[in-house]
Amino acid sequence: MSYVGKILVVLQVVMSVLFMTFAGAVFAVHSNWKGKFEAAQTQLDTRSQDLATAQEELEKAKTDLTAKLTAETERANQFQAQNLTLVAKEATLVDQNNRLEQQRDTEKGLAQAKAAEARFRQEEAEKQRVENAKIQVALDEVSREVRQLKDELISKKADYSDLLTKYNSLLEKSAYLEKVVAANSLPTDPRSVSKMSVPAPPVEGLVREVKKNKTNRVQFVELSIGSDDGLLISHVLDVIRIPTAAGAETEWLGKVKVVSVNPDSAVAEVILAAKNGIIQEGDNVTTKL
Amino acid sequence: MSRQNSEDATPDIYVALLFISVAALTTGCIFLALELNSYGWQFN
Repeated sequence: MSYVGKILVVLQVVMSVLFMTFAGAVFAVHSNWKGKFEAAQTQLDTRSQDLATAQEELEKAKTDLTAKLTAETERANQFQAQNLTLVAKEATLVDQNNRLEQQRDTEKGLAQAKAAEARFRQEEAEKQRVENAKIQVALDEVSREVRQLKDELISKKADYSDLLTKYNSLLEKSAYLEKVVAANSLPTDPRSVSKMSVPAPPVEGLVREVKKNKTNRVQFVELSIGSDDGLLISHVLDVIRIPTAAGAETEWLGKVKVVSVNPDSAVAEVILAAKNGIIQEGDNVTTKL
Repeated sequence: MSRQNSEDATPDIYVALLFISVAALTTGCIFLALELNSYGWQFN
């Protein structure tokens, strides 16, 4: 082998070793660019999908926001209109508030006056309660008296009932007696009867005429005095005879009771006659004995 | 040449170096084949 061939063989060996070394180094330290590419591609696709989704969402959000913006604009217009209305209402309410404050002040004054009046009323009520307590005590006393009076009234009613019964029986009796009195030509006027109880005044008169009964005894006499002299029915007079001769005594002849009177005369019935004397015309009658 | 045809030359150090070179080239080819295999034998 020539010298050049030997150098070429050595150079070939050196170059082959270098080739092997570089190939091994490439294989040992290379990176899997395909895997990275595929991962990057996958990531890119994912990101593209995310981007598309985000763009869709963005478009949707734009649409929604546009609609919302439109709605909010309309609402803002409505609120603005409402605001104007509310401003006008606020002005009205402010005026009303002012009026109400004035009314409140007025009512406050009235309330203070009412409160003062209420305090006065309360004090008066306290006084009235004291008075009421006194009145209640008095009322209890009066109630007790009323109960007693009611009891008395009940007993009085019973007495009244008894008296009414007696009164009715007395009325019947009185009617019967009035019939009897009328049948005997006696007065039934209470004033005449009361006058009959009055004692006869001190009068004197004469016997004008006598009337005898069937037994020839004097029953009635006519008197020269009457109602003008104060004589009334049932008056009793004494009949006397004044002697004309000197030394003789006055003779008592009896008692007569007036049964009828006229202004200047009267008729009397003999109720008691003396045993030793007979009433004659011209005898005296008197009430002075 | 006639000498070569009549008898083979005795292997010397240069023949050994050639074998070493063949082995290194084979190893390098294997490495490159494995590298291409990882890319699926695609060149673009």
